[in-house]
Amino acid sequence: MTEWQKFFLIRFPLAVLAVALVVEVAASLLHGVTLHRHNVDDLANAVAHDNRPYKVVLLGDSVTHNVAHKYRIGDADEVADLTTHAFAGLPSSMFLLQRYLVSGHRPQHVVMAVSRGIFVQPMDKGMFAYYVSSVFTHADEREFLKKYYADYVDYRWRPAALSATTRIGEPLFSLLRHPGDAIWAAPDSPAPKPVLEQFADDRDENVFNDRVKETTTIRPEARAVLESVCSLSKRFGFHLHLLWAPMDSRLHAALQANGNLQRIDAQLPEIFTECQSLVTVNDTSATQEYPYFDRGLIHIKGLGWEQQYALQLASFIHGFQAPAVPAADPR
Amino acid sequence: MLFTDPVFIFAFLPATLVLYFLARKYLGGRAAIFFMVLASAAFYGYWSVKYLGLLLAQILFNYYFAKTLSRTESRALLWLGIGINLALLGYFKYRNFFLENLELATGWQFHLAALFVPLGISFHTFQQITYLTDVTDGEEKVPPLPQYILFVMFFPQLIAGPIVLHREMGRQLAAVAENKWLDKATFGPGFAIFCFGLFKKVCLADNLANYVDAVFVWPQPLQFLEAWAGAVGYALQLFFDFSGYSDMAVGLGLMFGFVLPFNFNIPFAATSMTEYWKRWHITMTRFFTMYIYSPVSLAAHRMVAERDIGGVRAFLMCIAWPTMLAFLASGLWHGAGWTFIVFGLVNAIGLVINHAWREGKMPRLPKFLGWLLTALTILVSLVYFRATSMTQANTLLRVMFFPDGIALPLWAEGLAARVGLHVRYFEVFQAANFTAHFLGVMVLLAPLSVLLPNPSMQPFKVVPSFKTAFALAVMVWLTLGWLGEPRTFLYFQF
Repeated sequence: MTEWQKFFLIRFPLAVLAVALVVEVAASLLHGVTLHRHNVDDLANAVAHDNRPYKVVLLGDSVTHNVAHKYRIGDADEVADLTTHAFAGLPSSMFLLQRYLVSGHRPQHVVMAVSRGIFVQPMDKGMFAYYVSSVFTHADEREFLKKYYADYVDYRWRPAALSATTRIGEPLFSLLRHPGDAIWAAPDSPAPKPVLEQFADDRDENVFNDRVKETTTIRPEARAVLESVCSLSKRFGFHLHLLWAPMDSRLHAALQANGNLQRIDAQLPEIFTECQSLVTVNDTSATQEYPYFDRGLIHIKGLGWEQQYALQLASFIHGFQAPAVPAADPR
Repeated sequence: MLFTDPVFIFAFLPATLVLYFLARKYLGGRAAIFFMVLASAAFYGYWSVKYLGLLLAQILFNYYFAKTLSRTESRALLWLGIGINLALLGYFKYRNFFLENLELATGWQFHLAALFVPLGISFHTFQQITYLTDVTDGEEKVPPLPQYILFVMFFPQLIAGPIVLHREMGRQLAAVAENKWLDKATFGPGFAIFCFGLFKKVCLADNLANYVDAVFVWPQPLQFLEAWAGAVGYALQLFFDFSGYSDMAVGLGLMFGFVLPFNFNIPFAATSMTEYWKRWHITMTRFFTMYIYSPVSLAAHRMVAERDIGGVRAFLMCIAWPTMLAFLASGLWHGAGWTFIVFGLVNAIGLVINHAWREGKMPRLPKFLGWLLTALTILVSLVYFRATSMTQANTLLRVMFFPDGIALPLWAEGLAARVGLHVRYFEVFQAANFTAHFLGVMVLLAPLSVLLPNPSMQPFKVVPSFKTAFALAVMVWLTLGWLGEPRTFLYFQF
């Protein structure tokens, strides 16, 4: 037998098996480590451990997360910020809320401050495992994902050596990072009168035109998530406030003119049939213009404008915190 | 079919290997060559059957043209052959570029249909031009048709090189036809080198792709740090991508028993521009040196000697002008656009300065300074290479070299206050997470680009030890785990 024959028949197969075995053992030792790879992991852990009695839960995508993560919304310990981003999407918002409720919390209001796009656009399949299916692994969560996100999840067994990053690298990284068990709360409130910046107009017309032509049909999986949130609101007795996050003012006007905004909004009553009396829908851009966004026309640009949104959110929350029935006239 | 495509790795390659060696053993070398022609045609046809026809037509034309050239050795006929090949390349790759510039210059209006460039056309066109030239010079003979077809179509090098000369493949193909076997084991080293190349592409280059793309999608409002990260990131991505591809090609060649030339020799360790171009895309540099630089320089040397020209004029004629010409061609070869021409120009200027420094007997620069100047020149040229327009490239370079102040992202406000910098809105580094990942990958890959050896250079030094087995096993597992996402090789567009 030549040296290369020995290599292919003995040494290389042995090495392949040995590496696979070592990685498998390491992965099984690290199995069960609480993952802390990103904000969604941290939240998934914190919602079950943070005992502060928040009155309001704030769910949302990155437009809201960028703001709520920097500026405290409402008074101290008033709002639990469970905002994430589009890669984590609606299912992560729903699971976070569900875990939060199941662990004994009873908020009076849940605000879902998101862009309409999150209801009509498919999620990123490449990121789904990283931000959703590897985070939410309880039996009921897996069932939900299998049922409504079948194209996104793959629960088949794989050797750990083929998933070394997720089975070894990420748990190891998580062991090094201790973000704590509390839901993150930004320490500073927004300035009461923020300085609103002026930026040069560098909007990309192609991006703008694409956004104007975006589809308006709410996806079945988004529908399923919203229906589940609706059921939760009935079961746990909270008010659900769907709040459309700020949108580039020119884009908002164009979408209103072509009827796309109305087409999406028109689909909501049917989805929320079960909890209709507990749901309100509002649009931040209807009362406040936001002229500056990033190149993708998704995120607010400028610290001043972000604070403006933070103030709007806080005011929105204080609005529904007021007693629903006017106090009796002392006269 | 891409080398990273699971269909290629798990179906096409094993089946082709088994059938090729069975054919060699039981049917003889000629049958094996015929089989490899069919396999290579299937490899190319998997991408487009229509353009497979074009490729075969070009090959047949060149084959019979070479036969005529070998009889006549006519320079005029050679120029005609080169002209026809370049016309074909020009039609498919450069017609829109030509017409766009004609529109700009004359104001005429042309109907510009979308361009569809046949895969690898620049590579196999140049390969065949070298062959016609070598036949005319009497350096190469015309082989039997199947051997010629396989010389051009051998699938490991068909679509992105290395650019192989007939003198390198001709004898090997003839030996196979005569059923002679190499006296060295090639399959093992080939397998190891292929796995190494695949690892570089899938695990190293592709890891940077998403980050670099983010910078080059919108360079307009970038900040200083983002622009630098994008430019350096792209240089690393291109190196690991293309050198990974070249390693795979060399490895595949060896698995079938053919030795292909290597393309990279740790280029980012170069301390001068001349050294860099001896280390980067070596077979392309060799082509332009042999077929453009050397003939032009030789003619200039003769003229200089005849007319007794000296000094700066002689330098300009013998070195600067041929360098400029070769790199203008190199720029255009890479793509039909002004950005590619400027890419060539930046490199040419760097090389001319390098030569002038040496010719002028200037003091030798310290190694680090030489490395830094070389790296900066390469970086500038690669910004043009990657950018989608001149405006995009110029904007990015302006931010890199003439920034409007240096700032940190909003999320690094605390650090900014400590080091006395302002904070600004960052388009790419908006999130701390993304920035940390991007910089982490760069910190890992930058030293690897100068430390990782290139086994393609000395394939027979790859030893079948346990150490090699374990290194390969780790690479294979990592690569298979990350093979999920289909991506293209950066060099496929050329």
